[in-house]
Amino acid sequence: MNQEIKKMFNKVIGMLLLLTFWSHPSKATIDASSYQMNLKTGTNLVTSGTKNAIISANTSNAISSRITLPFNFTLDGTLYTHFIACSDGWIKLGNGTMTASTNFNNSLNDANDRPKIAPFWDEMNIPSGAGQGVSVFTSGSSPSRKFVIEWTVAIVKNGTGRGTFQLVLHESSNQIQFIYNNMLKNNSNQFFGSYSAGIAGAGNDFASLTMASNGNHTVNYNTVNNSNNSIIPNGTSIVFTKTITSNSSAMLFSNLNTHGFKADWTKGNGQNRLVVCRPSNTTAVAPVNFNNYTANAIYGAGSLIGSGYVVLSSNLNSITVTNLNSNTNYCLDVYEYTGTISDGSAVFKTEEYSACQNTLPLLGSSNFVVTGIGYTSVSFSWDNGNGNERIVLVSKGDTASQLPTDYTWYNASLNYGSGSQIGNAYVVYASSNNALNTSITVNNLETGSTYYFTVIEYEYNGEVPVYANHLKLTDASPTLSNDIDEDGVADEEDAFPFDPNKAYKTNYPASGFGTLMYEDLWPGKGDYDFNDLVVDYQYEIVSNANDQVVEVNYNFVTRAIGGALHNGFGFQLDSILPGKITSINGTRTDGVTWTSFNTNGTEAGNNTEANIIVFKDAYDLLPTTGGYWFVNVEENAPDVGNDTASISIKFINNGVAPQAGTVSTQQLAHTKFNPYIIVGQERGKEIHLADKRPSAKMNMSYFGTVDDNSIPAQNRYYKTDANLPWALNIGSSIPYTKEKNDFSSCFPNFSNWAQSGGLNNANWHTNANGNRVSNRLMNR
Amino acid sequence: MKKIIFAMFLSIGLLSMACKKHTVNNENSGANQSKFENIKAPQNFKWSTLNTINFNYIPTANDARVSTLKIVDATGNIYFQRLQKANQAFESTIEVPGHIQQLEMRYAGLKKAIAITNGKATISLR
Repeated sequence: MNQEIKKMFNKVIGMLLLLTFWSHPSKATIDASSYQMNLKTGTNLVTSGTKNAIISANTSNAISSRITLPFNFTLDGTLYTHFIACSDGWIKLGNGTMTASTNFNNSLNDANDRPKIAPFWDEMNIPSGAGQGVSVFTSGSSPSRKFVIEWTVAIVKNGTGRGTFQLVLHESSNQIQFIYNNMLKNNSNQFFGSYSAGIAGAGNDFASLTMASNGNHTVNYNTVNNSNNSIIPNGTSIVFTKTITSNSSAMLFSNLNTHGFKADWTKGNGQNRLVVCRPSNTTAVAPVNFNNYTANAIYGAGSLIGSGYVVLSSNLNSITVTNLNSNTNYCLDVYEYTGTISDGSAVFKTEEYSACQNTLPLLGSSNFVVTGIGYTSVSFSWDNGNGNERIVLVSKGDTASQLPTDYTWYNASLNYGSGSQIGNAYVVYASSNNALNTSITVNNLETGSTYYFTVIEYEYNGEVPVYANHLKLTDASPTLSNDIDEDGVADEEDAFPFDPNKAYKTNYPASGFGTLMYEDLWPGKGDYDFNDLVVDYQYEIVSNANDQVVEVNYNFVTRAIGGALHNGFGFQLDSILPGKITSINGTRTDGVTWTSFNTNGTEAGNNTEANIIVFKDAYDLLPTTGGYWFVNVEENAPDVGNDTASISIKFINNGVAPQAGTVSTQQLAHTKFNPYIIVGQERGKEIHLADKRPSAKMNMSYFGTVDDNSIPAQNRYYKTDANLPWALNIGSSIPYTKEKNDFSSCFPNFSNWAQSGGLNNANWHTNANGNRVSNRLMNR
Repeated sequence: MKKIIFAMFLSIGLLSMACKKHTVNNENSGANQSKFENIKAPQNFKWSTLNTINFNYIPTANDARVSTLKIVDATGNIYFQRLQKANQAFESTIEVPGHIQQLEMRYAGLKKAIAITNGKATISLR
């Protein structure tokens, strides 16, 4: 046999040996690792059950007949169905006989009569009298019955103490329990002596007890004690339990939701398991042997152990836990145990198996939609969140002032005002069974009123509701209201409630006036005092229910003229065809010679974009006085006052639009307002705001000359090569510069604003501290 | 030309005023003597204190509400209003003072702040 064959042979032999080892169950043995002893104090004798005497009174060294157990009992891996009891405080399991010669000679480790269980093995007499002797009875119900063998005896060896003790065999758990009661001496000179207590397996194995009068009883699996002599305290119980060697494992979580989850796992080898659910930021605390715990899958309803609640106590390996908080991490601690918790016999494995899981975050309801509006009702729908249920509040005129209180139930009624009241709101709906029908109609509302709807998810697990008020969904809707002119705009929102052709007034600027300031030496640079012409402006757009512009009413206030040129002023409505205007009134163009007008008042010659000439010459409005060259720009010059030109442009007249059609408010957005001056009565010479395009009347040959760097092809207009403008548009009415004062020196924060592209010092023009050099400014 | 002659005529007077202190918002200070023509403004700067905002209304499908949609500032000044169907898309442009930082949409009793990003705003009932 060469080396290779030898190696292979050895491997095969090795594997066969290994398989042989695996295929034979290891022999059970009563030792420190297989049977654990636990002490229990304050235990009462088992009393429920009908006693049957198996050894009569007034006898000694008696043995019973072979008695059939009411249930199969396993000791040390072997199943037993019968036993024989001895009056000397022990039993022998099995179908065999008991060796009578040894039954009073207590010797737990004796080879005879194994396996044996001895709660108190000593030479004892059974006195005469009722209730004396050895009896048996069964307590409880399957599968947790207790079979009790009870001795009530006189302990005659070295004394006459008399006591009652029980050997309890537990169904299913196969626990062996000794209970001692009234193990007293008749006088202080008497003592107990040389008794044995414990269990002995079928082989040489045993668990021998050393009893102590102070209750500190101990067990030894290697050295027998057949000479106990201590009085056993009342209420002592000793429980032998097959030691649990494997924990549960491999827990899997499923059915995750905001308030719970399902957990399945692989069982350990305990008879049962107790599961504690606790927040993961707390520490697991082990249950106490023999304690009574109540389990409830509703978190918080079971017994509290440490920071967790008992959610399961059974032989199952699956649990659905509810009533958890959303978005919280919880651990399930699984403790294997043997015994029955309810009868105080549970012995737990000290080490737990734990697994943790986060509940889902709670999502609020969403997608509120008003599906119908009546004069006294509103219908609406929403998409459910992921809470258990939801409640809907309705309040009039304002949002709900209060929200539901946790742990409180409310009555709901779709008739507003009939359900429970919470602050200013009424409960109109409370779902049940997580109803998917999330469309409701609330009735009994007031006409022409605005109602606020608040949908709130809540968690409910059969106990009490917990409201997710922080996730409330709020929306609102008015009921139908009066609309006298029947234009579709409710009277309270209609600026013209009696005119079906008008609905809204919108001002520009939204508040007060804006200011336009011009330098008029274009295409050459000026002195940058921006007071050659100063005009404030404000206009009101009147629109109808169809969002069409009905009319625009302009006010142009000419405030100052700081240039010698006689400039006209007008504006273009960018992209608005002149034919869409019905009429224009209020212009100051009498006697103008350098232009003409269409019948609707727009300037002739501008065929694609409407141009309106406001006035032909500023000096017509504000003449010079007192020998001064200019108007309102010199401190000592008389205050000429100002002039307001009020111009009304009608687009739709009494509901009738011009042939070219209507203009929407969107088409006449404020960006379409394009004001300009006409320099020195020369119609072809316009000065606009930076990058505003000129009218069709413009002499385009000016662009790019002198200091102008306009590039019409790039829509770049009225800027120098350094991007400086010839006109400024301020969104509010501000003071203007006195003559010959550089504009930027009068508004110290202007330069920073301009150089930042408008990002910094956006309020440079306001009257805030440090914004204006007041003695360089005029405000007429 | 007339203006230039006028400026020359007053030059002596102006020089005499050069040393006069100026008042900044009623506080005496050495005012910034910056020159307009020295400003270096960005190429696309519009020289307007008004900011243009394009807004887009996102409709709510199947919503039956019809009410006035308003865009207002913190003091209630109205920049835009129209009769708006809740289920109908809409877009438009408004101009608001550059120093206005917050706008609010109002509709059917609802009030919602409008987030403005790079001159654009999206508004909806949700």
